[in-house]
Amino acid sequence: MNPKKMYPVYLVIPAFLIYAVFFIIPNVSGLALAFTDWNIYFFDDIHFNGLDNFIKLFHEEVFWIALKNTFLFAVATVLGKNLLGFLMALLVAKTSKFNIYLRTVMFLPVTISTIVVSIIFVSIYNPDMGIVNQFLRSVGLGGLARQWLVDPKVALWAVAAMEIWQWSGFNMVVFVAGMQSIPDDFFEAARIDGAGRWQTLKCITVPLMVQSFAVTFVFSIISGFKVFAQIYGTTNGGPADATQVMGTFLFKSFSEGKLGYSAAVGVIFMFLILAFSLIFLIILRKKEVEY
Amino acid sequence: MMKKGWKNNMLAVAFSIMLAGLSGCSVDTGTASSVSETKTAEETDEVKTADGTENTEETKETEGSKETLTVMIGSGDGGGEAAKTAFQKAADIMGINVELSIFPDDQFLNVLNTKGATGNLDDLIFVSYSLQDLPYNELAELDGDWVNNVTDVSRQFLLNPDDGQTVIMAPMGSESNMGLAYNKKVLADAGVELPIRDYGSFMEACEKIKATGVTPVYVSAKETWTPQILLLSSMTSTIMKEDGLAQKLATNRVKPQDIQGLQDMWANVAALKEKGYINEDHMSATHDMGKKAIAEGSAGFYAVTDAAYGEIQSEYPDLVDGVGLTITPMWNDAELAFVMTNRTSRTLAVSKKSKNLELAKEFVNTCLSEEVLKVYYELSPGSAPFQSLDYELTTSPWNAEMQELAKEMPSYGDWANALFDGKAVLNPFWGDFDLNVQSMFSGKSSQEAIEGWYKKYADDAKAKRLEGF
Amino acid sequence: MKRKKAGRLFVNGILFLLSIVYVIPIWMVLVNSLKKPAEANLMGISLPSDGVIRLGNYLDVIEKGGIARAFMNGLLEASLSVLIIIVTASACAFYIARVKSKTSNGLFYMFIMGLVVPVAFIPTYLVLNVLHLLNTYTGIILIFTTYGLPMAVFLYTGFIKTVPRELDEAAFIDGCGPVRLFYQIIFPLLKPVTMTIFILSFIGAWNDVMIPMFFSNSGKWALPLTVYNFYGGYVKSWNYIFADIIITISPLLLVYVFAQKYVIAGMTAGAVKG
Repeated sequence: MNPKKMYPVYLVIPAFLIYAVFFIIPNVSGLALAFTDWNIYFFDDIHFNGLDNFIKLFHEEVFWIALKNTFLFAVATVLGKNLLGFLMALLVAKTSKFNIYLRTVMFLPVTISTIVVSIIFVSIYNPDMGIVNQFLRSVGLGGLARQWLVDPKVALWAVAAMEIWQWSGFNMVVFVAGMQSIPDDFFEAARIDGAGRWQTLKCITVPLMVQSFAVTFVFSIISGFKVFAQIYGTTNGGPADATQVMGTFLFKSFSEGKLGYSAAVGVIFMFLILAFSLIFLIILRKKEVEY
Repeated sequence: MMKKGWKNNMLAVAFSIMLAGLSGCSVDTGTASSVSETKTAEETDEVKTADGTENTEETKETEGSKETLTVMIGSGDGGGEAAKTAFQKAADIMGINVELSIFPDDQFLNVLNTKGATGNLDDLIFVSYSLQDLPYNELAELDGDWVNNVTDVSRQFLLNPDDGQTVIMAPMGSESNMGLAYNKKVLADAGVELPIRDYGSFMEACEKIKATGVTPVYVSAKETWTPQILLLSSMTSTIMKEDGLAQKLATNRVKPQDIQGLQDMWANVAALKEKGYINEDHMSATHDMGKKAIAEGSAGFYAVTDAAYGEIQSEYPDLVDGVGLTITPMWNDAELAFVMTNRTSRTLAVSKKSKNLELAKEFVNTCLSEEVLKVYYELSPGSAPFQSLDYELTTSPWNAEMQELAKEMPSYGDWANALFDGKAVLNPFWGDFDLNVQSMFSGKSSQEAIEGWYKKYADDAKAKRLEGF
Repeated sequence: MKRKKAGRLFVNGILFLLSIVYVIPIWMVLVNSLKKPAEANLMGISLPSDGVIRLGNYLDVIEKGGIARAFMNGLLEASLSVLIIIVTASACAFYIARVKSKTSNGLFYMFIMGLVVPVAFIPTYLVLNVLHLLNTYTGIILIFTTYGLPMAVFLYTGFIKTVPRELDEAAFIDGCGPVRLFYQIIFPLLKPVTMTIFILSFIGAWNDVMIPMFFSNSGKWALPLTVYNFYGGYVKSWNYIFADIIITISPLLLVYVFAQKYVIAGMTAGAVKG
């Protein structure tokens, strides 16, 4: 059998063409632009300026704040989305009317635009009228009420909570499917062997769900690092840059028309996410080969 | 888990997806632009008919041979009623359609510049930015009766910066005052008298107000454009005082943090917080909350533009008469007292590359006609930027109050829009001014804030390749 | 036995409370969209205090916000881009999954990069400008397609690997050409993952704000941008904002609620194997 005949390269061409024209060309040129002083005010007059953009970037205090925040946000949301998602999946895995209701409800936020979710949470977190503080006060926990999106100590976490709210249902659904694909015999055998719940979970459920974890982790790592609209729509990096993340930092330099500089930010940003997610992906692909 | 019917349906769907996609694909990967253009035209038709079945009423309006003009506008203005209503009125008079492209405010300038640089602006733009920030080479020359009637203060800002002669923007909004809105009753109860001419007296006034249990100054730093008004409306006289200072700032020969008067003023603003004269929730407070506080008298002063008058009028019609506007005395020396009167705040311009160039120009002239201006000023009262009009436009008592004050002290624009030797030299020095003012309320020192402002505008000026940076 | 039942009841109670946490933000938006402005600004979760349900807010929003056209725009842009994504990505992934070569590996990683790299707006803008695709539906659809392809290729590749190769060979021997082989024999087997991709890409395109905003004029904007008709910087009319939000999210919500069984089934089968 000739694989070249059976799997001709032209199968790739439509996808590749679109991708090349609208992704590769702009991004490769973006890469080159990172070494120029290109800006919106001198659109047709570009000069190479070597590593100036990068040097300036590394000297900018906000860049390091953004880096730290991005990392914290990613870690918090990866853990939050997966732990909560997994826990809920364990509880709603059996098919019953109540569980179907729960699954429906928890997946619901996934369908809403992040910008819209942000607008909703801006009102929910409103210090005076927002339902979070209203609730805390009504149950006598008024002392816990905060200026959620304003207090630099809690703002980032408040946005992380919003992200977890929106996406934990997605992870739950993936986990439920993973659990349902485990044959019942396995659990039966474990029960006969006298394994407890915890042991079953540790020795059967989790190891057989590696694929599910891989998917949810890749997605949540990438979306955690790429966080943008969530911050943009709520705190927009404020107050005084305390919640700036890489996504908003990049966007800010872009909004100011510093296109070369913004390209440089993009390059650094890209390498950072790549470092984290590619390592993960490569491990994942190796695993697949072993099958 | 899946039922059989579902399976079959899916098959059918998948198959039709495949077929439809394949045919679509051949079009989409084709590089000939004519192909894509034909497709676009077809799609537009498709949408129109689909629209028609949804909402017949709207179809009646949009169908027929009515021409359509589009206006790019920021959500700050587009979200309000004044501009929308006025444009609709103008369109009705001309028998055309007008459509607004409303952009989120923080993206608007960027979008304008991107589209401008590549010749893709809509027919018209409605902005409150100064010309130097805009792709002004893309704007068409305007002409109408109003051109020679514009006041000198505003005229300067409507001319093409390159030749200083061609009028490329039309003044739609009023010349505006900025300052401190005050609650008349709160001040009377505390025994505070106006005008207050220096910071020392202002502190005394705040102390008296605080003693009555009312917040002296309301700060709504959640929306960064509001607290900056404190400094926006008070720095000009200090810069004016020394000859050539503005020019030195503009060419980077002196930094703002090295000017004692400015340094003091920033420190004075920061001190409002340190002395406990502002509301506790200043970082999360919004403009809406500020208007409420000043109207209901839970605060004494609140820094605003005069546009707030129209807003308070519609939101708290019973309370609006209890609120006045006065100057912002953040300076230490009483001789520096001045009234801030800005150039026209909102302008309308036409894109040179508009396909409906003449129609768009006519639209501008219609917008500046009596009928339309009356509608606009009723919703957004202010003093019109015209030397003489044979009709009356709604002005607000606030403007009258400020004009009264201007009889005893000079009247300047804000530092960025003030004319130094007949030119607005500080115009491009915006540089995150608002964020840096805000940062003083979230814990930074006034020194850090003013330096932060310098650093940022120097950076921007460098990008704009201005002399000296 | 009794203890177990009580335990289960307790857990269900907790879960029910948790589900309220998921619903209440949407509930808050819904009730406030029915109130008069002053009350909506308070953002409470109770029904309108005067007992009047103001459906008029919706009529106002639909009229002022140009909702009908925005809805059609979103439908057109999202569904066409999803169609192109599915047709092209599946074929591309078929090659990547079946052929072991440097090209195939390189292609895979190249597409994966797209998951990671942020959108380069201005260069993309210039490309569209050169191709005369700015302000066209075609342009927006192709950009949506571009940014949906990486995930689709990623999921399809994983899934196709679970489809036995013998099938390809049998079909090929029967005289199927590669295109027919793929679309007639293999593609139908990819239903679950196709469903997943359909959902995720559709949600992505439907909800996107930045791409239409930069690359087209308002005539081609979809629902999420209509909220800026009311979300102004100076004056906010929350009753309208909330009504607009409900209008924006309800098409997907309705589809999801009615088809959730299939959505979740498709999602999971696709995502897990992928």
